[in-house]
Amino acid sequence: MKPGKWIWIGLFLVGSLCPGAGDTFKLVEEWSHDMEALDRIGVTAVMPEGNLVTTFYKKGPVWLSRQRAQLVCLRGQGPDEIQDLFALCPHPEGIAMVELPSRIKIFKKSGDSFRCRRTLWLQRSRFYTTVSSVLFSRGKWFLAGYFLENFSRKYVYKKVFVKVYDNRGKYIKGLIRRTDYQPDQRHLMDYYLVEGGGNILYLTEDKLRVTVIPREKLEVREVVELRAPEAYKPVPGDFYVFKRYDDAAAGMMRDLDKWKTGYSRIVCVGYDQDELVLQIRLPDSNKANFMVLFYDGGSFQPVGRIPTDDRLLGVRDGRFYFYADGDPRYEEAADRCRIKVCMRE
Amino acid sequence: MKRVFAVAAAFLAGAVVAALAVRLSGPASREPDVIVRGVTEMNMRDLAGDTVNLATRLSPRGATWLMFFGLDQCYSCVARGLADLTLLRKRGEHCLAVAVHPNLDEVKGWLTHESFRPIFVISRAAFLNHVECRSLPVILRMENGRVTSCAYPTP
Repeated sequence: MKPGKWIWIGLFLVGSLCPGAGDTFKLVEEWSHDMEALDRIGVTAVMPEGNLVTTFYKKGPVWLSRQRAQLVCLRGQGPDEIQDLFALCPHPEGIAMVELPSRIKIFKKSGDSFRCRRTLWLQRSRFYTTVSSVLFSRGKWFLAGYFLENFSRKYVYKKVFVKVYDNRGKYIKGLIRRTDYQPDQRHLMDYYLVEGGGNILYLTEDKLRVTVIPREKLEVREVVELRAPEAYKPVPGDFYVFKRYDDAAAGMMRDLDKWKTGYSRIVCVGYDQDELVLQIRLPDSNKANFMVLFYDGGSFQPVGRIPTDDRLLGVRDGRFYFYADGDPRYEEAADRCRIKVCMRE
Repeated sequence: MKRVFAVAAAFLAGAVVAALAVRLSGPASREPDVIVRGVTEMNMRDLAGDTVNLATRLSPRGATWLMFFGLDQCYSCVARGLADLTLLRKRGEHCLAVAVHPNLDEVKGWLTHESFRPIFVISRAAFLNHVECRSLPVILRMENGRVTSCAYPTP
């Protein structure tokens, strides 16, 4: 056999063993709306009927469907308003939104508008609390975020990153604890919770690492390091260290923008059809701004990857919802509200 | 040389007098910096929604410890204030708390996981009509309808 053929056979074998090679997204629908969004995208809930509720900073929660884009509620202290939105998720009664952050309001669509149907108060903590992700599963509320458990006496910072509450808002348990001896700014990080395979999966934006929490046992079963693609640019260890800025607002915003775009941080997490789906940034790539990674839901081995320029909002029933051209704050091309609904092929 | 000593002594004496004046007139003085006007006209609501007059809730013989707080304010401070009231009650003191908020249902929801009672509700307008204070939460010690001391609880 000629040596050239061996090269082709070798390339074929390498290509076939490489996870996800040849995967692409096929555009199924495109929703275009006359809505101006200039700041970054926060959390998104994919509703059971296939509509989205996405938060845009400085704008609020927006209901996105094929027909329209409309604000779910205004910012305020009224009964049908939200004061400080931290996180949201689908709930059997509608959309659950965490505000303040010790109150959950459940909004339901009635006609063309949204009304708050129920308010749930969570048991408060005396210490600093910020919520990044919320999940309602079998009568329990799971909150991921940054929860201090003491004041900084003698430079000891005790934290917990996942809190579980019952259906009436009573605190049940804190999971994933950590004690630091230096202050940090990890409250600015994004934390993710998704449900899949009977477990609650917890991820942070700075590491390709998944923590598996069985839904009923409420304890950490395992921590799995996910295999990173070649283009992955890891977040450095001094990410989110505490700094004193000369100009606190400008300095912190400059750092925040650098942190959010300069490394391969996780920007979206989903779980669908027994696969964990992540989207990471590709800061040094000329080909695409993001990459969608697929991992097997049981073994967490990589099963695919697709580079894209669109920002993943969520995934449900095999349909991937993207905000076209990236994040409005960081990508100049993303100045129009276009939602791409894709299927994997 | 004597003149130098005399100038130094005069300077020191002036500094001591100034420090004492600042000390006595500042926040560390015994005069409370909270004013409560018209206690007998100060109407609140209890958690059942009934109107309650503050004067009827004050202890007729001894002192009453009273905390005003807002729902949206620093919860660490409010929690410390409620814990202080609980401690005072264990010592036999008469204590109550008043939430400054327009909506009774909101207050009831907020109190879902709080054990301290009694708590009353007063509207923001009524509170501003009757009370002058630097910030909330504030704990007052009232005796014979007058404020005798106050404290701003902090974590």
